[in-house]
Amino acid sequence: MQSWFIHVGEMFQRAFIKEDRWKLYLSGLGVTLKVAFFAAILGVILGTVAALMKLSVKKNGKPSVRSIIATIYIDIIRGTPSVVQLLIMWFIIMKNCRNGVLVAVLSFGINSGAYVAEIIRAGILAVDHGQTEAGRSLGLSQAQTMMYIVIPQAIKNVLPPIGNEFIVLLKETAIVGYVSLSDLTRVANQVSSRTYEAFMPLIGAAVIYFVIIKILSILLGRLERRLRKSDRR
Amino acid sequence: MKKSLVTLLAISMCAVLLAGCGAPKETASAPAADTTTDAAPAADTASDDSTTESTSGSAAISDGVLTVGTNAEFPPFEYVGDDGQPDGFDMALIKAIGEKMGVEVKIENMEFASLVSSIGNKIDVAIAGMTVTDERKEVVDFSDSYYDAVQFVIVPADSSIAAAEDLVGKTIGVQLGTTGDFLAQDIEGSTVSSYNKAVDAVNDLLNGRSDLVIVDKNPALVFAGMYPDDVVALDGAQFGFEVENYAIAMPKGDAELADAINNAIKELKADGTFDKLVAEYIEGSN
Amino acid sequence: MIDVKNLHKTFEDNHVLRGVDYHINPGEKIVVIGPSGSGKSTFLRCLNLLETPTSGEIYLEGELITDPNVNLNKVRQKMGMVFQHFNLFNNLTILDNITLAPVKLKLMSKDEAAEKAFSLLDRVGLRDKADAYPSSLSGGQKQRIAIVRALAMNPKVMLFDEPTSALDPEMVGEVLEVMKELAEAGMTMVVVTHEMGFAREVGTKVLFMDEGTIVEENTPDAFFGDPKSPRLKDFLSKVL
Repeated sequence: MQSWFIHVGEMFQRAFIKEDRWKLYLSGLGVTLKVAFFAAILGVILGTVAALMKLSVKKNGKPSVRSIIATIYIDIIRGTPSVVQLLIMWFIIMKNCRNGVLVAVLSFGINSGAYVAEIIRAGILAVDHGQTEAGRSLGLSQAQTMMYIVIPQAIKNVLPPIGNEFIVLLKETAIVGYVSLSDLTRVANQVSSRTYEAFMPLIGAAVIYFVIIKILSILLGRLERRLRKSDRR
Repeated sequence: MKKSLVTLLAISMCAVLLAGCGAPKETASAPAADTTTDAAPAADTASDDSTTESTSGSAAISDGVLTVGTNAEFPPFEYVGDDGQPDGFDMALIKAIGEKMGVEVKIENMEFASLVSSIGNKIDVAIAGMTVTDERKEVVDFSDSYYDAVQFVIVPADSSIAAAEDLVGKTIGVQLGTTGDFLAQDIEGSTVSSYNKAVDAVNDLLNGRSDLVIVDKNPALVFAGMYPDDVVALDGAQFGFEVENYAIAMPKGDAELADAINNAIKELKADGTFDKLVAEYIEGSN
Repeated sequence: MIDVKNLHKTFEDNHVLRGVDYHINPGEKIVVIGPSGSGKSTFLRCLNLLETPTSGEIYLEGELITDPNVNLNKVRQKMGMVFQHFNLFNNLTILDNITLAPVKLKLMSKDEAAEKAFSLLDRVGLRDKADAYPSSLSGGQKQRIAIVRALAMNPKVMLFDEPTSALDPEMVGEVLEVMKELAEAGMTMVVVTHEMGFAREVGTKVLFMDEGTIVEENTPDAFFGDPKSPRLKDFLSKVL
């Protein structure tokens, strides 16, 4: 038993302490967070735009050109693996861009946008149509009604699934190693390719991901509770 | 949509686990904690096994199957052939070795970086143009060297990189966990971009994302041959890189297996098979 | 004030309005009754174009509002609407519910709108609810706020779509009371309702709609005292 502890301690030492390897994990975590954070922002912007486009209808009730474009975007993104999208973005579309984080942010942002669009669309549709009618009957335009009445209420509906999407996004960035970005997962792989031990680097990376996501979900839970207060005052 | 997909995946994964993915054969009697450990305990286990199973020789091939890990991204030593199966010099060599040993050879294609840590659990041995290094020797044993190689440097055709001092502060593309990766790490001020596949490193060199790629000689010549107008492959000797020896990585302490493999290599060299394979796969490709 | 000419409305293959013609004068209180599915709510919703008529013309103060080039938002500012299910904005306080449209449409400054809101809230006795959210109000209070919200736009005409149908019985009175006061103040009103007492007491004209047309139209006394058509007689015998 004692020798087992010593052994684990040695593995820990090799995986994190030796040659200041903990600094590698830290910079890997930095890349992971940078990509996830900016991709989440881009995803929310793209998702909101795509959701509003998809919801727009022509006067005769048929889908508009904008809504068809949004539908195609969502279909393509949801119908292809994110790692393939990343490789296409890296090796084909932006093959001359040297800023790897930027390429990853765009790829993941565009990917996340499609899922966010569906979440927001569902959130908007869940707001009682009477709210829109009341807004329009007062002379507010479609855009004003959306802006001041529907979207504020939709945000409460979409916050839990959006939070979930952020968590999925953060974890999905683990594939950026495919295009030579040194994110947390890649760093764990790099360390294990030096020490020839997969255990500590991978468990270490898993623990770091878990802690980050736990913090994220606590923050999201708090935000959700604050927004719900307006229902009960 | 996403949720139901995840559910589906979870169910299918459980199904796979229930169906069983095969217990690691040589550690069946070992304590559970040892499956994740390295050098010292693994050696103990191996020697224990060799005494209890004295008639069958090496534990790794006691079932008549030699499971070989490779990374088929390293032409001409290993690559995915037209039939979708790993092919190349190493593949032909290990099959010939298996024939001499009288065992069936099963190839597992995996990432290069995880080859060494998979020996003893997912695979029995690894043949992947792998250079013998002191770090690797701490974890695995190596067969006799079967090929001498040197790292090559691929640079854009118009590059001025020509000597060791030109490498300082450059962005260097490598395949994760390869000798080139280790060399690049040691170059002063370097930024190392590591890829799963060497060809991706070369692609990004062509895309202008890196200044040079460090990779083994033969694949370097293959890549340079693919893009003769865009890149040139330079001998690592002019950058002071040392000659390396390729060998087969094996579980630590498995003397029977090492003997069997080394004898097979000797026989193949003696009967001319080895030279034939070199001519067919390596010299033919240059 | 409002002129409706040969109004038709079709939903898919359901012909809901089959040619409605009517003229409403300023200050009139028109009460529309009829069985469910008669098209009375659709008629009301066509007046402020929440439903787009399939054919026919509607004029408001001489302006053809069914013209596709007309600015709908401007038209609707002149017509207040009260819904069966109140439709207060759940995300806003009562005060913001009332002031949102006048402020965002730049008809009033924030202070003017708040002043107007408080004076209207005083009229319906709900000043103390200004900072509350709709979810904390009773149905009757919500509907009174909904009326105030519409009035804050200074509309020329008020449309009521079954304003008491979703209320508990004990709350119907307080809403009808507000509507009566509004009628007495001279507001032009079109009310779709099942409250026959209200029709009799407040209406200047009562319309009976059935199967997409106006079957009968008269002053309340004549309407209830001397119904002409058999369908109205049949209907009144069931509801009175």
